[in-house]
Amino acid sequence: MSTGVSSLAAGRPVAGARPATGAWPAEPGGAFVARTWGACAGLGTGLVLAAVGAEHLAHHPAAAVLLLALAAAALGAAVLALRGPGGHLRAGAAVLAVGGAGLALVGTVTATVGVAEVSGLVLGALGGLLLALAHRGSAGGPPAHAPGGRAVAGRLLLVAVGAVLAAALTTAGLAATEAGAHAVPHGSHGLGGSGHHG
Amino acid sequence: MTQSPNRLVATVFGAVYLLVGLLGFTVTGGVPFVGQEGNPLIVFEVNPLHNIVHLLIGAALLASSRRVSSAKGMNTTVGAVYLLVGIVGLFIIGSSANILALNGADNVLHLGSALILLAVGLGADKGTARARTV
Repeated sequence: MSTGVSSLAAGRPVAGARPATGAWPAEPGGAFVARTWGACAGLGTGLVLAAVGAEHLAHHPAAAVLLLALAAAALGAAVLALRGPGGHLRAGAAVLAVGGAGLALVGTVTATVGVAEVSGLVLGALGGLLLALAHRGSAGGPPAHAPGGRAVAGRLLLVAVGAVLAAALTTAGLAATEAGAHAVPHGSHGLGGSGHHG
Repeated sequence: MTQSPNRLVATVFGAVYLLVGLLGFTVTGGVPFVGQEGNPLIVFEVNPLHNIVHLLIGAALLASSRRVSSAKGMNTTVGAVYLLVGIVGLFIIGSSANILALNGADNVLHLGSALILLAVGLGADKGTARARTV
């Protein structure tokens, strides 16, 4: 019997099915942190890729299409990683790494490397590394029991820390894009129209 | 409730948004409903429309927090909507529909909140004693 997996005939769990989960999936703590932080970094990578891609639409459409495609892939990989551990983490790590590299490549070719590109590169590299570590960390199979008690709140706190760190890096990158330059100050949003920076 | 990250997040975020929405009205007296300039509430600039949005989000999250399934759905929805609005907004920056705000410290908090909501909505409380069967 595989570690943590039941194997029954008809009506019983399929081999390879993960054990019943509680509040959080049953995975080692380190792998949990790497996976959730990597996923948050992945969402940030996707946002920066989309913002930089939107910037290039007018003057470098081929580069824009590439970046927007990478953005969609990064966001998808991040969402899958948030859903739980699995073999998709390795592919997700590759997607994020390629996304960061794509930003660096486009920035170099178009001579537009700036804070946004650096932010996206860092997010993509960190996200890829973290997802790869998460995949490796959970390769030995899930623990016998899902976390309970104080561990539930503890893991929630860790998720919050990772989310805020990723948000800080992402916001810095987004603010450095053309969209950031035209951003409406918070509090000035209105119905059907807002002021914008010059 | 403390054993469900989704119920916990929905409760805490719902209460905070409600509080921010209510307190916002104490500083937006005289501010036009959809004014171009807001008044600061601690580090956030708000206007009456913002306060109402905060109240609605807070009420929705709190109302959903009584059950795991509804809290999970609401957390995912609010987080996803925020993310999608952010992405769509990247392509309408020159239009009158632009509401995007990407460059304030408060947006770290907003984006961080969206990431937390998505993380718990997608990744936590994924099922009790249920397993796939043939």
